Amino acid sequence: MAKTKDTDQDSIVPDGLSSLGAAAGIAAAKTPCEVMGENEILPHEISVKRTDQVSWRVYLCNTPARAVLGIADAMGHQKIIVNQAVPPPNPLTANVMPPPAPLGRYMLLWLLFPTGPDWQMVVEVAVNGVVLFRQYKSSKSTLPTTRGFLFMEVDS
Amino acid sequence: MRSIRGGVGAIVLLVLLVNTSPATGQCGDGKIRPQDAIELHLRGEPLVDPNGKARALPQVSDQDKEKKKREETVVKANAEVALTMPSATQVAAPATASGGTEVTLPGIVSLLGLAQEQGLVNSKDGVTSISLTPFSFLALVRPEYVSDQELYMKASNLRRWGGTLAFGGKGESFDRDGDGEADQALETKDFNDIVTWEVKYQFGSRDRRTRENFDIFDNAIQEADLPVRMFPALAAAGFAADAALAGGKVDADGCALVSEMRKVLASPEMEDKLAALKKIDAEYTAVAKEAFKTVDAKPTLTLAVGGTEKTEGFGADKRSAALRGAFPWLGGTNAAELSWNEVESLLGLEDAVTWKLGYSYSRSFLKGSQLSKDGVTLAVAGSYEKLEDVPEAAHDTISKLNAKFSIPVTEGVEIPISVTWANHKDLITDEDEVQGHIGFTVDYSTIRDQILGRKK
Repeated sequence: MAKTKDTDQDSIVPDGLSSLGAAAGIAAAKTPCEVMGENEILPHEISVKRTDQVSWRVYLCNTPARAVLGIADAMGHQKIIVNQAVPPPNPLTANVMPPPAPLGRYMLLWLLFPTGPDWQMVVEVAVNGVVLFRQYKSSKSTLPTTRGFLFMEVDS
Repeated sequence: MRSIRGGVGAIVLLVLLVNTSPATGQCGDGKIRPQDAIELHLRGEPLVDPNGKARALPQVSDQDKEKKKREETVVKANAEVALTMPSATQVAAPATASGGTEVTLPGIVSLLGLAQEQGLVNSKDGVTSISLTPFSFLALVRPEYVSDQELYMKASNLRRWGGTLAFGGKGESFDRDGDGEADQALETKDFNDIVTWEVKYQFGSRDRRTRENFDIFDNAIQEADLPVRMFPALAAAGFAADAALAGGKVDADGCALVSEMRKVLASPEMEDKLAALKKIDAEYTAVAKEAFKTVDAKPTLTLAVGGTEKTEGFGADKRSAALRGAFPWLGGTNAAELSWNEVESLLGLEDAVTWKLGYSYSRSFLKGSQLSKDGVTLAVAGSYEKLEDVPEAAHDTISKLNAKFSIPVTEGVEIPISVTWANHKDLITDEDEVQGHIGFTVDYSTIRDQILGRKK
């Protein structure tokens, strides 16, 4: 039996994106995430003073996502600071530690749940406005994880 | 000419510099980031490559490198065009910027060049076709409409439009001079000798980036409380690794020796924590898969309108309209189409009109069973056509119903069976046996090939 003509949906599905993604990806200038991600800073831990202001920021490209940020200590105490769908806003910024903070060793953790097949993200941690940690991840990274952590030593 | 060479030389130098710049954020030889080691371990992947060296984990993959290379080619091509073409400029404010950033828009020549590069403009066998997908062109000029999710969502209606416009080609063979003999088809000379167009609009979306489809995924992971449950599991694994690496085992770049990480990951303190995290990861994978399955199966409906306009001597004008739907039903994939086609009569008679209703259904059964690893596929397709004033048609109505399925015999060997019914006997042309209005085919070729040791 002859195939029904013109039943092919691929020419427009999904939302004209099959060709679009490639088109934009190749022709486009770099995405903001790719530009920011060129200079990764990936320490295992950072040291901060009690009075320092620590902020966390995530920038998403090519996707929406659920973003979760929290802080934990070695005693098992945990606090979720952010748990929301983004964007908006993009970037999403959160104050991790408004001063004064108790002394000790903490772990900042973030989990991102994106849906865009070509997702990209940049996570930054800044202390008093100075970025001390920057991680770029994308669906095409060798290890495309959408979560991370950073240890933070708070001293006097 | 010297300035052109100088410009190209500068670009080549820039490309070389970019390619040879040391990658940032990487560990030295024999070292790995604790977090990367944990993630690799959870995925069951080795921490070292087949040569026994620590796995370097550049964040930019080979695919990204290829993409970068292609981008540089396009940039270089644009730079060359810009030497002769004045560019338009505008100020665009990126979402993150505190101030405006000047971006250079390509001139029309380079825009067409880019459009051709992306397949939005094609030229083949004398036919030049242009994509009528407006979002593709918007993305070409304003790529932030792809990368910036908020802009992407704003343009959701624009992405539903699609289509093509084609010029040129070859006309039809018909009796142009009235001598009773068909004359050879003419090749187009003017741009508008033959113009073919189609415009489509899609209702419904399977795009995972739309708000509605993202919400399906987001609600699913929240209902399973995954974001909150994954958090303590990762914290516990991270702290356990951190404690085991205390005493300067992690350097200033955040890297630890692979040998050390192996010990940490194998320690009893880590075992249960990694197992707990792995369990939640598996749960997340299952929930996400199910959510995406729901999104991928959402019904869509496409309305398409098109036509072919020809100048005299090239053949008959054509018009068409179709409504095409894709939806899940009865556990399978369904597609339906209602179409209307009209072909102008070159003899001044009534135009030929064809109405067609088509439907197809396919489903896999017994997947992963002992009978068949890949399952048994059943495909059913039916169509009804009503033809009015179609000179070459032998029947006013054409109805066909076909069912195909394969019976698995052994691994990789199956017998395809096809049954076709038609409302006119002469319409059954693809079956081996015909009895009345029913045709029947049993294809034993795979078994024959198996016996004869032939590879397909």
